[in-house]
Amino acid sequence: MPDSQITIIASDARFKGEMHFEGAARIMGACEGSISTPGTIEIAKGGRCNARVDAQRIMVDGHAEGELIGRERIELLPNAHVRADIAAGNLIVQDGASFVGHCSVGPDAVTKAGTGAQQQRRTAPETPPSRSEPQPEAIETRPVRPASQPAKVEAAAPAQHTPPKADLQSDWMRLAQGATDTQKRTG
Amino acid sequence: MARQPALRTVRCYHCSKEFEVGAKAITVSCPHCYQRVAIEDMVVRSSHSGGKVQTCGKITIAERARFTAMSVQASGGLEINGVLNASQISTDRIHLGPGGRMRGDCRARTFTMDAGARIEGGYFEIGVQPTDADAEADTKAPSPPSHAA
Ligand SMILES: [Zn+2]
Repeated sequence: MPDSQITIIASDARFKGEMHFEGAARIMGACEGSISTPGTIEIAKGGRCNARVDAQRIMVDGHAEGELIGRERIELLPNAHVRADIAAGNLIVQDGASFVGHCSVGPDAVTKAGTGAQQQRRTAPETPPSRSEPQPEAIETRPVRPASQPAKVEAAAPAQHTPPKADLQSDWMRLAQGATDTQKRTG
Repeated sequence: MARQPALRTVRCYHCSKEFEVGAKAITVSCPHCYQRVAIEDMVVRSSHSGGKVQTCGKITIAERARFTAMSVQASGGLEINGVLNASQISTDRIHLGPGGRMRGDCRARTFTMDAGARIEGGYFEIGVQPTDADAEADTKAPSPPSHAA
């Protein structure tokens, strides 16, 4: 969309309340309340937004708090500082951006957000993790080669290692032990 | 000319400090907090449930694999091409592949995802530097061992 069709909220502007745009908007000042558009909202570097933002695409390079609903996507640019609940079709987080909040991404996430993202809670796994016997065949541990070492060396000379000791604490350790033993028996 | 031993740098998942280890090492004691750490890379290829999974290496969840765990700590990174359900996920960088799905509270320095990937809920902390207090809370550092293990 050409710049002429973008509504710009300049850096010296402060808005509070409900805003709706038919096109795109770039927020360089401060906004509080609720913002919606079927187009793109950009919270530019230096911009501050403490609002519920509902848009097709949301780009953040400033500060955002509240709730962000990006029906197509949300992009957090390197200067973004976001403390908000996010629901988006797709999420892009560039290096340097920071984000704290509840997050749902995918085609279903946006429709659920429409019925109230506030209902999100800190989630637990679908099924309680089982403490049953680990299945070593489900996990493969692989020796790590340094970046400078060519791949063919790894294939030609697999690592010779002693299995980890039995007093190690994490489940992973037991799994690694099982995988190593299996390798030794088969190898 | 003498060959230099191959080394790589890993980050301890207890104290978040970096140190060098031999390229082929699997477990070592962290020289900063003296705790035993696993440093191996790990690949999940099918359905698996676990309690607490920790490594300084990278964890890869393959396509069609499903991994359910109480907590996952992979300071070398997390690559999700299948399904991950975990109450706590902590890593340096997360990449969600096109078929990747994840659910759970998540802390990482960087996060990337491909189109088609899904996040099914969770509390995220991305790009937030861990404070020293966090590292200390995570580390119940014993006094240095007085004898070799
Ligand atoms: Zn340590």
